Amino acid sequence: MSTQDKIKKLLAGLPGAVEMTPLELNDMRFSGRKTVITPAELKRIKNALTARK
Amino acid sequence: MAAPDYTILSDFLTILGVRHTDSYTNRSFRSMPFPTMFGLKKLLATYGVESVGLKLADSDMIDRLPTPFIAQTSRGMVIVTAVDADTVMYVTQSVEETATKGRFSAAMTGNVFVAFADDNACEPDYAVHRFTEIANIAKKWVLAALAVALLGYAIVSNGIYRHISTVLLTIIDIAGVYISTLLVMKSAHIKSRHADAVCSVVQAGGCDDILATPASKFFGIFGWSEVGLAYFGVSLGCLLMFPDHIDDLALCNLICLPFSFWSVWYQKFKAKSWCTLCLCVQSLLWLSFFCYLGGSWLRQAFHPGTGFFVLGACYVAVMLAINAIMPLIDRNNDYVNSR
Repeated sequence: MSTQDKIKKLLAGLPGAVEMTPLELNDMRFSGRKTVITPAELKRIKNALTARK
Repeated sequence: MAAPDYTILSDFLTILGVRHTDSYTNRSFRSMPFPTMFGLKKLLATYGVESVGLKLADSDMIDRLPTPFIAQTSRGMVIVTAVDADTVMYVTQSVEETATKGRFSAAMTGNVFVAFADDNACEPDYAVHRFTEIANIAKKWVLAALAVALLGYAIVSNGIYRHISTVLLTIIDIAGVYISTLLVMKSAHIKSRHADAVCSVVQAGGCDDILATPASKFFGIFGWSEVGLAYFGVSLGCLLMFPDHIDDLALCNLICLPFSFWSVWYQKFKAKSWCTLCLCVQSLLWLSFFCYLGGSWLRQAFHPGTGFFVLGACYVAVMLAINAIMPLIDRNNDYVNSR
């Protein structure tokens, strides 16, 4: 099975999901910071996101 | 000394089971002109790994994705290694963590990066890179083996083993070289787990506090850590190669002893902070003194000849050489590092 077929199959099982464009991938930058994202850090991120809403 | 090298690329390839070498992989990752997911996609392609970025409509759907995959959070990327009904296992900065699925998906941006690696996926020129990596590891072992062999030869051929005081002096000097090296590394802002572990024995952060004071440098020119490394290095070399000059070494040790009083006084009353590594150096100086005293080497030390002055010149020459090298290895020296 080719990679494109694998992607199509994957997208079929993920309603609403879309493939990212090269431009969108370029917007996903690596910060270079060495932050260990612990479960406690995840909770802080979640709380920050909730507060923003 | 330094923590094992890693990047998200080397972690990802390891989890995918793709043959690679950490040195080449991490170098490739760090030399990406634009460190983005698009760059990572291009890099993965050179390993024969195809990949795709997906925007999920609902982050709870991560259990439908093939693992491993990279997930984005607002604080950075993590590699998800397994998802079940309640938990998500992931790797962040080479550390394995487990979180509840609810907490994990809530922290996600919804962007994921999925890779497809087949059995033939492999680093370009993997065999050559692997050979180089093994050769680099072997170099360190050969160096250690040769150092031990030469040390053993010097101890036997120069009769160091015949007197307990000279055996102890050899051990003290080796310990002094090690401790001074850790101090020099700290002065050069080179991270070392060993140095941090020793420094935290008496007072966490004490070494850094002391090394940041102007008193850590002799007239603002030579770091005391450099003086220490030169002292123990030359003493060890002289003891092993020219043991006849042990009386000159004893006199030099005696001359250095007042420094230990000043150092302890400074740490207690001026800096009000304790540097464990510095205290180790002072202790080693005094232990050396007791060895010279116990071995009756001081008795012959008060009639210094040419050898004493040659030894003094060696101390100064090595200290100047270390001092000249310091700007080249200092991690905070932007001018040198940018060249």
